[in-house]
Amino acid sequence: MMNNFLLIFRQTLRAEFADRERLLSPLLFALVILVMLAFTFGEPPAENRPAAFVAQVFLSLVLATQTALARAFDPEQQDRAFDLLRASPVDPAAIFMAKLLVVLLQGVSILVPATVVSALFCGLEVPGAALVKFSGLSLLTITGLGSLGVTLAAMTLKAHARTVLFPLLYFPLATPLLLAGTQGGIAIISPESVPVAGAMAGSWVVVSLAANTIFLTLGILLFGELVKSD
Amino acid sequence: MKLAGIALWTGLLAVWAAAIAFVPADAAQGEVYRIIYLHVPSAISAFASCFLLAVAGVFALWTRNQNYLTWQRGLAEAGLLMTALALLTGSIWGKPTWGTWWTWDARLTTTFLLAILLAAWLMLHGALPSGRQRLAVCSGLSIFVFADVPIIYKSVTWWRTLHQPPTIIRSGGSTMAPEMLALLVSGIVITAAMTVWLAWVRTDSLKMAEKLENQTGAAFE
Repeated sequence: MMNNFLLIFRQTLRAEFADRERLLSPLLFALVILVMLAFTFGEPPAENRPAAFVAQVFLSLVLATQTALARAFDPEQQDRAFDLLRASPVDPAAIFMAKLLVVLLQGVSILVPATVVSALFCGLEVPGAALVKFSGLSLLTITGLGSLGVTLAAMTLKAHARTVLFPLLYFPLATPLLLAGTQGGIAIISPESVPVAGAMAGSWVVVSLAANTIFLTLGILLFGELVKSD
Repeated sequence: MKLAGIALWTGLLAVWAAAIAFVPADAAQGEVYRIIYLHVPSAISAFASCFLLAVAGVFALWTRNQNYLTWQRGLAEAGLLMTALALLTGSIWGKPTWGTWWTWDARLTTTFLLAILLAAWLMLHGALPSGRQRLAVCSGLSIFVFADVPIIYKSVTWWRTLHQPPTIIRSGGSTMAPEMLALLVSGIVITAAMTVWLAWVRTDSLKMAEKLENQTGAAFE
């Protein structure tokens, strides 16, 4: 399975890199959101900076990853590559994991600049230890969003109104991850503004872990069934 | 099934009549609180239908039996109806109590998300061609939809909300007067049974429609 996974991962990565627009447009979209927010609200007051920073990072992240996830299987659908892939004896879990890893890389490529730009626009200096914890929580959120998004992309692959259905399902289901990310993020970045910040951050990490476990497990278990042809 | 329907409707009307005429008014809220005998049972019935939706989803994936998918559709429709009823009655109660029809409170928002998810489930069901894949996709989604229920339930303890914290199941026992609680629990049981009955009736009619469609299709071929 490991060999299959690596093979499909390399192939998927190559397909993503073949089309620069696919790679760049989510990142540019995230940056445009941040610039628009900065233009609209300016530099927030000092007491609101941590919350504004966390909100901006996650808002740009979730909207940008949504555009990437909604067309996650577009390269494979060209030339019926996906049909051939699912007809092959490859374990569907390997396809799912390979796709998820590509989405994670895309998510990180959005998260890093979004964090830097958002901190700059908010005029916020994040201490190193808090930044490491926040990055960990953000990675957890991206993993959950990726697992959910890849599963939903597979679910809506054959649906007539895919472009409408994907966000309709994605945003409500992503709520626990986003809440855990934003609330936990504020507790990490600005512990003085949250009572018992350490415990609060810990409980939000648990919520995020629980959502991740549900989405990842269901994704791995269901993916084979979702992409099987009739 | 008809008999069960008559019994359930009678029970439900009796609960509503008792809620209006027999239980005392609330000391703090006055008469307006009586809407809880419709609001709380419909919200809990919506949760129950989501649980059954997930159970039917698991069975559908396990057995590949299309009947479970038809059951899921019936449950999704009944669940959506109950969620809408919970939102509507909550809104009617909110106006005199909170001074607003709607606020983006955690409990209200997560319940609204449940309504969107159930509507999206029905849309997805309609957007996929019938067959094995529709069964797998919709059943998988049913399990995802149920994941929202614990979040709705815990929302009042996780966040500071306008909505009151749990008053029935809580440590230290219920804060409600025994006669109010007894009627509320009766209402919950009957409304939940009514939701299952509605899903059952709907599932039966869907199965009949499918059979008819197959027969008509066969006649034309």
